[in-house]
Amino acid sequence: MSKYLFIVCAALLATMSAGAQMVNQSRPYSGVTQNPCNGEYVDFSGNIHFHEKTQIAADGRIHFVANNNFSASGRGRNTGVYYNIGGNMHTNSKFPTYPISFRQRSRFVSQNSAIPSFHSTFAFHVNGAGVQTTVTTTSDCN
Amino acid sequence: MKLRLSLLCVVLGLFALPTFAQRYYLEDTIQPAETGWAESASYNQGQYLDNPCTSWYDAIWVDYSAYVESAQKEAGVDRYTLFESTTMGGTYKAAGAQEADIGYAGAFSIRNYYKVNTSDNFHVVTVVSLDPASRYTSVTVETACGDGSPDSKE
Repeated sequence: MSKYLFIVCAALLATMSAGAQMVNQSRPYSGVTQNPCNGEYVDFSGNIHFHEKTQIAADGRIHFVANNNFSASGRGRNTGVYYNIGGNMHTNSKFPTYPISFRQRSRFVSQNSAIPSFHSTFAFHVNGAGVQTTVTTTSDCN
Repeated sequence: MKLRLSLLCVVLGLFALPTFAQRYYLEDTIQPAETGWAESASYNQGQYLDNPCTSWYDAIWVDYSAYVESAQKEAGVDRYTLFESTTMGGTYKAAGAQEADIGYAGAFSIRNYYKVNTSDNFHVVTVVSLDPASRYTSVTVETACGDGSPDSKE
């Protein structure tokens, strides 16, 4: 009897594991943004660590859990000043269908006190089917 | 005399017309046609909670409250911000606040986990559901033996 119980439990665990898609990887991220406080363009590059779990909840909705860390450094084209940015986008959410996006705003910190820092918003666009999260960046001077 | 008064009225009317038009224009400008909406609500739900990390059932009374601000950032754009603050008092205590900025064309829920003052992994979960079409926001309370991260069981 206990042998059958073990087999049933193992099958259930295997089913649960198959139902959850896990992503745990770092990917390079680079681009160009504009420091809206002084108008100069900033080339930046860095990494985003995607740590995401996707599964179908008991209520039939998509259950998406993410803890994505991003860090990058940039250099102003006109001033040559270096900038650093880092942040974390965490979400534990449920929704019926894709696509969905989550935004996290962080400060692009100037390494020269004479050059103003600015804010950038990292938008994580989740399109489903596993590793499909894409990232875009927008900046503001507030 | 009557003719002069009539001419004076016409001249005054011509000067007054731009003033009225400008006023109308200003009133039209301040209409919130290009902005979204913002609402807030408080929830107070005293209730019994069980620590799911223990094998026994321990119904403990807690004073639970949550404050939620929901907003649409821009009219016609499916982008919504949620600020939520939870406070739980009693034998089981927890507190914290979280923000979310979500782009979605439909109803969704966010689950915010807060550590309870126990030595295990007991968390209270404030679930905020938003239906942008009706602007209806609801709060439900759940418990979990996990922190809601991708590696967590719950």
